[in-house]
Amino acid sequence: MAAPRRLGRKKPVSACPNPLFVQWLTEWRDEAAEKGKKTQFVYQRALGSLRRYPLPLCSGHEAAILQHFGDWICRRLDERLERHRAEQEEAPSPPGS
Amino acid sequence: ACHKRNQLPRVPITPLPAYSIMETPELKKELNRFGVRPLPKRQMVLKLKEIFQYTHQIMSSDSEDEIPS
Repeated sequence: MAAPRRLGRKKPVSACPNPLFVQWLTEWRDEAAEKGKKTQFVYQRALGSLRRYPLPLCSGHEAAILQHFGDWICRRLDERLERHRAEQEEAPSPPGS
Repeated sequence: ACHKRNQLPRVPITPLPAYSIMETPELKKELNRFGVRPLPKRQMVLKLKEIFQYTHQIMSSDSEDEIPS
């Protein structure tokens, strides 16, 4: 019993729906690694699940459903996001985000 | 002049997996592929459907595509 195969043009979706979160987590991971902190592994694991998540997230709080995202990371993302938005209001032409 | 008509090839569209009747461990495994932690069962089904809908959006096919066969 083969299901009827539907054909269609798939609307392309972004391969990286959360570029800012990826960028910030990478920065934090590298900072931690430079200082030899163990938190680098926490950020690394969070990056791993974030990269697999295909939907765009609109807050750090929303990222709490992802694996390896604890309260601390979510709060830090929210704070960073707030700062980013404030920066954007001041300078409305940011380098490609 | 056919300008930008064949933008994307038509590909077979995967039908929605039967998330609604999946058992909890299977739902967890499916969500794990997307980096999502285990959630309450109902929420897992909703999240999986949301992901599916987002990743399987069909371009509104113009009338030219409707070839009855």
